[in-house]
Order: sequence, then structure tokens, then C-alpha cells
Amino acid sequence: MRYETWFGNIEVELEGGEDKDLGREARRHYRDYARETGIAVKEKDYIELLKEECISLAKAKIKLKAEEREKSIERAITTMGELGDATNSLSEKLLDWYGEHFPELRLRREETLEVIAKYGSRKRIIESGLDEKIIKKAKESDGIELSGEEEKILRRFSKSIKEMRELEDELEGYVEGNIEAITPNLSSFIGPTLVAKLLSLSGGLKNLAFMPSSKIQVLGAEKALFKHLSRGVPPPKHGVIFQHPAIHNSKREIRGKLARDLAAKIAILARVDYFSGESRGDLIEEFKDEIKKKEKHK
Amino acid sequence: MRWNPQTSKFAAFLIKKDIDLRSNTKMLYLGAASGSTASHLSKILADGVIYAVEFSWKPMRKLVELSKGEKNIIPLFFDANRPEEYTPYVEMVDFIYQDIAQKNQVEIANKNAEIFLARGGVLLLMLKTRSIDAVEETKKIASAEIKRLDEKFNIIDVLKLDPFYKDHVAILANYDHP
Ligand SMILES: C[S@@+](CC[C@H](N)C(=O)[O-])C[C@H]1O[C@@H](n2cnc3c(N)ncnc32)[C@H](O)[C@@H]1O
Repeated sequence: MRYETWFGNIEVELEGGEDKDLGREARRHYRDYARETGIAVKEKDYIELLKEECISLAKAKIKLKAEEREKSIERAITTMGELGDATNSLSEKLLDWYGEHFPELRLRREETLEVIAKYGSRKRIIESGLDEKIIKKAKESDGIELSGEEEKILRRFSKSIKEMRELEDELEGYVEGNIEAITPNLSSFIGPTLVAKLLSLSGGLKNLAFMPSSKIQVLGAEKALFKHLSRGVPPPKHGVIFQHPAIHNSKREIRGKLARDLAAKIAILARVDYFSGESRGDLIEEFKDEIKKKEKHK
Repeated sequence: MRWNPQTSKFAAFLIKKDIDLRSNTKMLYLGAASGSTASHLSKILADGVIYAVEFSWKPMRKLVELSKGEKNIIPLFFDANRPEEYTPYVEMVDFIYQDIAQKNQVEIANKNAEIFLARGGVLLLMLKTRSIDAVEETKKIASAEIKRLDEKFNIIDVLKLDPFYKDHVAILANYDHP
């Protein structure tokens, strides 16, 4: 029977009936087969050739898997963070600007952006098939008039923001799909979505690995932290890690404690991922169990 | 570099138990990481070979570099859960050393032995036992895990690795499979 090996397919004969295992039989004689096929004539050739073969296979796989992707993923993560900040501040600018023309609109942010991109001036809104109430507001508005040039700019502005949002989503999808390669342990502990957010807020795996867990705990709550420091209001208990189900599903009283604990575990796994990259399934199980136990103690 | 029992479970094991590692031993090493233990073993098994399996790319990158300088370490970038993927590269071995901290560690050992471990071969399994609760738990987990080992294994010894590793137990077993 035919059997596949690194030096090609070999024909293995099974003597002694079906209870014999073909694979085990073949593997007992790999070196003999290799010698017969003329590939590794001397005993030490076998190991040398096999080693070369396995090294190049491993190298190819490392490249494919991660090494070359790593930089690209890190770039996508930092771009995602900056893009998020930029679109937020730009869309505030746009809404303020448009607010002078149509202060009564008062829709949610995304809807407003949509209306601006699609129609622009109140005049066009009145001619549109939009909701009666909006049309009425547009007719009675006290806002200043828009020139044609201004309208054109605002519409383009709004479309650009929408596109930046779409780019952000696309980046997020890419990062989530590939992040396991750079954070195998962290991703399996809290999921790729949250890891992507943490990395984008911290500026990458290296930064996260060097960050004290008290800071990880409030990553994404910078505004609240600033208020705490400048005005003495209570400090935030958690930042983006609030999105972890263990925290947002539990009672308010224990959230702070859980957040602290979760952040400490995230810090450890970020360091494992950054410094060694070894896969630590045992630690992950242990951490998950501990968090579960604490959740129950509510 | 000295072989340090603080950083290598194999070294810690050798301090506790004297085993006969012949220089022509063929070894399958599951969970070789970046190869610090493998590099010491490669000197002991000077006429043998070490098939070193590791599936995380960062340690594997180092293992590849190491193996270039050692004539008998074969780096295998594979998941030990799927031994059928590396059968083309690995011959029958007389020793399986496994140091993989995963939940299904015993299952991995069983699968790989079934495929690669010759009759009369030896398994040395570094069993991770959880240590969050008490010492008592370590014992319980160890014996539960040992029960899950394939019945073709005869247990030779079960050793604690303290004081070097408090949450690991070493299992030495013999394989009886034609
Ligand atoms: C505790 S470390 C081994 C340390 C190593 N024995 C030494 O003494 O230098 C465990 C290694 O097993 C690897 N590992 C975990 N699961 C694995 C799997 N399914 N297949 C292959 N390697 C695995 C991890 O990536 C990690 O590098």
C-alpha cells in the first residue's frame, strides 16, 4: 500500500494480517526506505536532509502565519485608533457647522450625518420625502442660509466621514480576523474584538505589555479619569473592559473588583504574548475559572 | 549554559530520578518551545534525534535558529493535537517527552503514542495540575488525569517536581503496543 513520507510516497507491504498498523509499520522503516530510494544513503544524511526540509517548512509557515503580518496588524490597530479619534472630532465640527443652518433638526448623530450627506440644505429637505415633522421644522427654522458652495462642502464633508467610518469598520474586521497571530493567549481569553480595542487604545502590544494593570483597567475611560484628577469626582471603575460580559452582566457593586481582577489577568497574558508567545491554555482556563467564581460571589 | 532545574522540568525530573537515556534515543518532544531544554537533550542524545514539535510561531522562530546549529534537532511547526499532519516527517520513536500546558494534555499524549511510540517505548509526561486551591487538589487532579492515560501504558513512576515546580507532576510510563 502507498504511504506518504517527506521523501516521497513509498510502497509498504503488510505481512501478518489486518491487525497490523500500516502507518506504524512504515514509520519503523523510514530510514531504510529512504536509503532504498537513494535519497539518504548514509545514516547521517537522513537526519541532515530531514532537518533542512523541516526548517524550510517551518520558516514558510512562520511567514505565512504571522511574522510578516505582525507589522501590518500593528499598523492597522494604531490607524484604527487614530481614525476613531479623528472621525469623532471631525463629525463634531461638522455637526456644529450644520447646526447653524438647521439648529432644530435634533436627530441622532449618525442620522444627522446621513441627512447632510443626502440632502444638505433645508431647501432640499423640504422637497424630499422625509418625515413630516422634519419637513415642518425645516420650513420654520431660524437657522442661517447656506450658500451653494457651503452646501457642497458640507455634503462632501459628511460623505467623507461616513467613508472614514467604513474604513474603521474594515480595519476592525481585518484586525479581529488576524489578531490571534500576535496575541494568541489574550485573544483566547477575552476574544479578538476586545483585544483589538485594547491594543488600539494602548497603541499596540508592546505598550500594553508594559502597562500597569491599574491603567489597563481604565483604558478608554480617559475623560472620566481626567475629571477625577481635575475635579475630584470618583475615579472610573473601568474603561473599555466593561464590554467584557463578566463585568457588564454583573451587579454594580462587584464591577469594580471584577474589573481590577480582569485587568490584572489581561496584563499577565499581554506579557506572555509579547515576551514569549508560547501558548498557555492552562493559564487561560485557570483565569476563566477564577473570573467565573468571582462572578458567582455576588 | 547550565541546565537549570528552575527553568527546565526535564532537569528537575533528572534530579529526582535517574533514568537511562541512551545516546541513540529517538525522541519525540511535544511542546518544545524555544528549545532551551531541547538544546541540552541534544547533547545527551548525541547519536539520536529529537523531533521537536511546537505550534506557537514566536518560540518556533527561535527553535528554528537553534536547530541550525544542532545536528539532531528537527523543528516541527505543528499542532500536537493533529499528529496525522506530521506523520510524513516523524519515524517511530522510543521516547516521548511532553511538556504542554493544555487542558487535553493526556489526550495529546495518547494520540501521539498510538502513532509514534514504539513497543516498549517510554513516555515522560509533565502533567500540569492546577494549584489555585489546595495541595489536595493537585493529588486529585493528577490521579484523575492518570486514569485517562491509555491502558497500553504501564505507569513506572509518578513524581512530584517540587520544590522546582509546585503545580506539576511527572509521569513516567512504559508503552505496550505492537
Ligand atoms: C511549558 S512550555 C514548554 C517549555 C519547554 N518544554 C522547555 O522546557 O523549554 C509549553 C509549550 O507548548 C506549546 N504548546 C501548547 N499547546 C501545543 C500544541 N497543541 N501543540 C504544540 N505545541 C503546543 C506552547 O506554545 C509552549 O511553547
